[in-house]
Amino acid sequence: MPTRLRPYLLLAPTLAVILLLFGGGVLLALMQSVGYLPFLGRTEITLDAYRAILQQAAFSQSFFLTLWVALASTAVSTLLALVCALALRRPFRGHRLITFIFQLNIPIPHLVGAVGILFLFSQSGFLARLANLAGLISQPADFPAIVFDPWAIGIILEYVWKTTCFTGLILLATLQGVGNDLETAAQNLGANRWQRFRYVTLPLLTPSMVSASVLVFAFTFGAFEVPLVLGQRFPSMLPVLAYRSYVDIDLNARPEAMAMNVIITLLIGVLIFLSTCASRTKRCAVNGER
Amino acid sequence: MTRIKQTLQPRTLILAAIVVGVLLPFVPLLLWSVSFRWLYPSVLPESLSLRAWQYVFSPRAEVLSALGYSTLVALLVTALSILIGLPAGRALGLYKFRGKTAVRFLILAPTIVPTLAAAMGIHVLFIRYGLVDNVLGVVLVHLIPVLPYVVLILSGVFANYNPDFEAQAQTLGASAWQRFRHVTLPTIFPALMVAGLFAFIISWSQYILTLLIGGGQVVTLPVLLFSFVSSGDNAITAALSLVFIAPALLFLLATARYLSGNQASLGGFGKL
Amino acid sequence: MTKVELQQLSKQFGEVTAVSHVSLTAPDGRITALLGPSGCGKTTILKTIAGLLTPSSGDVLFNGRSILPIPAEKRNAVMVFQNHLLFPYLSVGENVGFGLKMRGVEAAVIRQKVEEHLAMVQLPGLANRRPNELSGGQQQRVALARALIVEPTVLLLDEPLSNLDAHLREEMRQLIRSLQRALNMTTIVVTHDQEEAVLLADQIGLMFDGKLAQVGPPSDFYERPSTRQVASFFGATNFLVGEKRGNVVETAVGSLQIAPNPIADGPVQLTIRPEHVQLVPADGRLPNQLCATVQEAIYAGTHTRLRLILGSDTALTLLTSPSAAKTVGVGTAVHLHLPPDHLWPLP
Ligand SMILES: Nc1ncnc2c1ncn2[C@@H]1O[C@H](COP(=O)(O)OP(=O)(O)OP(=O)(O)O)[C@@H](O)[C@H]1O
Ligand SMILES: [Mg+2]
Repeated sequence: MPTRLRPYLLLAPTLAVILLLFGGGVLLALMQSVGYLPFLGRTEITLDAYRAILQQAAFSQSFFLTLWVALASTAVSTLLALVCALALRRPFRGHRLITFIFQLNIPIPHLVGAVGILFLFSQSGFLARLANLAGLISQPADFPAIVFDPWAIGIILEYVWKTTCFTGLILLATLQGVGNDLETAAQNLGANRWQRFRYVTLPLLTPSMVSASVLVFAFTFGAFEVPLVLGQRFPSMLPVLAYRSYVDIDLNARPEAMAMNVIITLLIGVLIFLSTCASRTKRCAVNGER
Repeated sequence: MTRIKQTLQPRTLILAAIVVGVLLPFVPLLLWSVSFRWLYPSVLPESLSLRAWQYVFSPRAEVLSALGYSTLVALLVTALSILIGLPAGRALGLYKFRGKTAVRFLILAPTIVPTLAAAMGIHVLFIRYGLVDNVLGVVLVHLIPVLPYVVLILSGVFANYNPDFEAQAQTLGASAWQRFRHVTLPTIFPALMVAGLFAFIISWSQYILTLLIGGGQVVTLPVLLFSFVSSGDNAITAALSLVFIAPALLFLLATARYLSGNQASLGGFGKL
Repeated sequence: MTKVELQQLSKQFGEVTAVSHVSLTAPDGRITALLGPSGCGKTTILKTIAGLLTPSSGDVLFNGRSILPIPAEKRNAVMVFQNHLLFPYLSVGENVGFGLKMRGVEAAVIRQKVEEHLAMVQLPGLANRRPNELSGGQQQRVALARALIVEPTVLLLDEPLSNLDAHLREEMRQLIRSLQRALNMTTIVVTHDQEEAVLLADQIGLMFDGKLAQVGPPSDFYERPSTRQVASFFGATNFLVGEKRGNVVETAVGSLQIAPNPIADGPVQLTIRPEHVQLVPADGRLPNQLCATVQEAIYAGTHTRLRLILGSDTALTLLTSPSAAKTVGVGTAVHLHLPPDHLWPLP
């Protein structure tokens, strides 16, 4: 096998799958969003679907709700993950057990997480009962609405619960890969605890933190299951809105569903592009590079 | 004095919070699954019963068939994604070639772009080629979210891989298969297990892609579970949830030691 | 019983020419050293012989037969890599037995042969250890045993001593020599250290920039280097420009007699090794006597290195015993003798 072609041959199966299934899917979504649906006998290219959804109040409400959920979940979980990774970094008594517990919810499906949060936080849920026992509330309605609520706190709680462990494990792996040497060297040069964290540990973790938050943000922006279990019916999160339009018996709604998909995709793309640019320029500024 | 101080260290508090935070949502799940009557405001179920568990494992509950479908799909997806993704991980980790950045970006795109969007788009083609309402179609559509993670994890291990070990084995007389079996495989084994874990649980957890492409014919556990969540029977929902997480937990038990303390296995995520 | 021949061997990596038209014969049952500075293409040649790289042009022959069509795993040309590459997930014994396992040899036979070969490299009874529980020198010896166990037709050693400290080097060198003698195996050793090549090899091929500069027995590189570059690589520092006519060379410091040699008349550079330049009393009995001034004396324990100036600006270095050097301080005038046998003209 000619060495120069080797990497391409090795990549061919994966690229075929991704290009056909994923690339094809995105392309078809785009085509259907501009009204090209030959299987329904429509081939006229039009931007009607985009016009229609941008005029709906439901769409913009969904959009801001989704953005809020994704941003809040990403920010909170990344911060918590940083704290957890630092706490789990060095060995102590029971380290293995606690690390295992921390890994425990990596394989838990979001759907189960959502059910757990529902049973825990609903107004007649486990915590409400504990609050009642403690004499804090007297009836379910006194317990703050955390699920099916306008601020989507329940959804955010589930995302934070799941993704903190995901991000935390990535950060932990990065920390363990880097080791202590650099911090020891910094300490030797006179850096105190805070300075070691600020000028050594944090910069080492930044690339992993950016990657993990990009994954988390994109996931929470586009996920479907958790909002379905824990979200209000109206306004709903964008993916739910798109899916509802897609399965609508009115076939006119289909281009609208596809248009929403395209908009979700573009928005995620733009936001991630901006955030990586920002983090990159910031990193460069720290390093004094251009 | 020192004792008290030690237990109140910030790190101890953080660790306690981790344990409580991770485990708390499981408490009502466990309690509900064995409850018979559990009305507000009782903190514990008023009467216990195994009704939910009996129902879950009774033949008419479809749980066993859903378990079968879920397992079949997840195992097929895991095997297929590793078969396809292993060479790609090797290429991305080990070689420099033109267009590498673009290829990497393309492969990672499905982790960023919601797979539901792509799946809705491709749905018409799946209908045309008879890939809906059957396991094959579901397996194919699961590859979209699974494959990027598999390639990412495996490219991480191949980035620290020394191909001279294979050359050494070759001059000692090892054939291509023997080199894979006795050199490559043992070296990348931890990462392979982690990749397998991710592939399995991502597929295992899919609800909406399965529903869309499986069209109610391929009823996997999440599809079944969702119908119970909507029905409002908390006890059965809880029992089913626990059944749903059991195999994934077993898989985690088998692979946990490769998840942390090993830079190569998860390190790939840090270099997106 | 294998003679290895390289014929006009070339290897290109894209734009880079790593090896260019190398022709060399490694005689049967002998050690040939491939010597040269870092990056000159030594490892590339070794990998080509092993079958791990395909040459861009040229041929590799074992006993007169081209082996290029034979894949590496069937060539039985075993390479021991620079950093020993013991499989970390196998025990020492499993590492040594690897090649036999690949050949489907019975487990009991493997066990016995492993013990034999571990004893051969003076590591008896270590079969159950893990490679990371061994010292660097022990790991290198395990790698050697792993290669020897398959009874290679050609043994290819890439820098076998480079990761060892001075003491272990000596030990390992003797081990390689004695094993090679005992097994009578054609061996090609790569090294960048001329002293190592001289001590280890029956024949040396010296390379610069992918090209073979000189091939021959070790003494040739001291006594009859083919170019100034070769001479310098072997530690020669004295070069005198001159015009050769028969057995006389006219230089800036006078005409010098040289021994009969095959170099054509015309402009040459004369070289003489520092240890061959002699300090002599001022009398006219010996040929090639010259006057010089001591510029610098560097004490080096077993000898003293004197830097001298002849005439206006010709520099020479000589080695002498520290006691002899005591009598000549910096600035003193001395008389030198350049024995004609040791003056070698370079084209
Ligand atoms: N796979 C490769 N791709 C591109 N260039 C290569 C490759 N392998 C070797 N080279 C180049 O070929 C030349 C010779 O390399 P080689 O490894 O044979 O040198 P060497 O003599 O063994 O050096 P060293 O003593 O440092 O090991 C070098 O310039 C090197 O950069
Ligand atoms: Mg080399």
